[in-house]
Amino acid sequence: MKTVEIYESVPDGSKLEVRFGPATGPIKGSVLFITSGNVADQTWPDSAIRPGPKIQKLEKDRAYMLEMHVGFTGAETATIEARIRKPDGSTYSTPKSWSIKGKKDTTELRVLIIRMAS
Amino acid sequence: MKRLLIFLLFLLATPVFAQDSDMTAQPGETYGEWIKRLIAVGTQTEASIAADAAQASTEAAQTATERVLDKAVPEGSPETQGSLRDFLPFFFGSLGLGDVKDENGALTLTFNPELLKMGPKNPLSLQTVIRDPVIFDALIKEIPESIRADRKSALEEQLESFDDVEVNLSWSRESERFGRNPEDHNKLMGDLFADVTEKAAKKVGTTSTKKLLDLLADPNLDLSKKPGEADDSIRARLDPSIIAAAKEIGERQKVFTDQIKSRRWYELDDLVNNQPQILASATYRRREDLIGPDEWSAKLSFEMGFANINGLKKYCEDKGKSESDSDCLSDYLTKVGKTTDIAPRLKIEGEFGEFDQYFFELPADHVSYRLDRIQKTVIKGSLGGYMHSNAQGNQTTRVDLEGLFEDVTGDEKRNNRFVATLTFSQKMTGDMSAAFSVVYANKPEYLGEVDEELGARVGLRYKIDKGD
Repeated sequence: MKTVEIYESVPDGSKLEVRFGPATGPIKGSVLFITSGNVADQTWPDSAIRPGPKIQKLEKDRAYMLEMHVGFTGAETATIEARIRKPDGSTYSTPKSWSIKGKKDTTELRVLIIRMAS
Repeated sequence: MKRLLIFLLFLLATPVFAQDSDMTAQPGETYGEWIKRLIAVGTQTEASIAADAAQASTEAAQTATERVLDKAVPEGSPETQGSLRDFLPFFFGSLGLGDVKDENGALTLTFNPELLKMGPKNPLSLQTVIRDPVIFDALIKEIPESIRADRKSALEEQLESFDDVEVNLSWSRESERFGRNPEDHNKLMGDLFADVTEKAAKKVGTTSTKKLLDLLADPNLDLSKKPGEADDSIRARLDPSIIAAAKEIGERQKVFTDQIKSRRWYELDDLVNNQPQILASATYRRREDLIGPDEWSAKLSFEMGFANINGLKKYCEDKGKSESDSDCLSDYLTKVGKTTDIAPRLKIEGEFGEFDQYFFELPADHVSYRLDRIQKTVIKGSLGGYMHSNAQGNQTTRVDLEGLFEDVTGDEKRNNRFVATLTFSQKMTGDMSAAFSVVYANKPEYLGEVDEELGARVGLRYKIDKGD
């Protein structure tokens, strides 16, 4: 999976699920969630996303960007999974998942852009 | 001049995009590919480059936290096994009661901590050691030499598998105030990480990113198109927005990684490792008369470093700040100064135990052997820390002060014995290290082996360890 991934044409009313792993281990995560328009940015702390999932409703006429940070306090392989569930509960498109091998005292960033359908 | 300075600062702040031509769409690149490439390049950190390079190398060993569950297997003795002893490991393992080790003439059964329910904050370790039985050596020596070998063989016939059994119970406290389990501080460490994320976002802002998102919110905008295929009006708005957003995201990531370091988030691990730790253990060893006297002992220890999570929380509370405010973390670490480098550590340990009185006789051989009850008290305290680091930041010089008091009834060498030792250790090249100790004892006979006597009660010890 690339550093930056884009979801296109996401149905209105879908829900984004973000989870970081492993649930125990020398990592911490955070997400800066930016929404188009006049909407305040959100910061999701580790406790909300690991193990998660953090669920966020997605609305039409918007685009979103998630800056997903992982901090390593020891050598570990972190995982990030982002899945979108359509209003009927089924999974939209293919879930995005990253496996990140990190060293002690380093951070990594992955970015997800979400564009909604009309 | 001021403008030139601002321009130079801007250049320094955005080192990844050396030339704006790197930021324009490459031939054949769609808008979607262009956005992905720019953001990926702009956010590439030293860490991600290093992580890629490290993929071929072996994974670094995990930092081990001292856990009460990791107990060493006690010493054992020769091999004679009864049938129940043979089957016990099989039953113990297959019933999921815990782990079994059979080595050095001792069968060690370590019970699964899940079965010992005192909650996650009070981990217990229960271990049973079944030693292969051996006749009490002191008893054998009391038998006249002419019949010793015969009697020993006859007595050995009487030994059974479970004649020498020891039970160890250990407890430690693992909570937000005690113990060194990083998992107990997940919330605080995670909230501080999020705080730095938020502060970096506020410092750099998200204006350009939002501007790009505003354009991407239009579902009719086709990112599979190449810039050359798009309308001029779209290109005029989208192209500069992509470049500006990528620069902003790159800048935000740079500020974030800088602040994680400058606010010393990584040092939280050291603060966790300096948390006070309480350990208690009790041991009971039951032996048949042929093997020796029964014995029991209880131990309690307390250990802590001086700059720790408890100190951070108290400091933030006193300052009226939230403990998950990264400003408070960096202020606290500045206040404690070099304490984290020196890493001073205090340990106090107390042990009390008894050997039961013992009597055994072989009337036909007119042999009897008696031992009075023996009581043992040991109190130990130590304080140590690093004094110097080399140019690479590795701690090289250490000083440790240790005091030991012990009193064992009937043992002349350990009757109200007090010994204090001050040790300087210097790491030299490679694995080589040197240690120099000054030893003081309250009685000359308690001084022990020293390399040089400075007086009746004071001596010097020195040692060079060449490593492996």
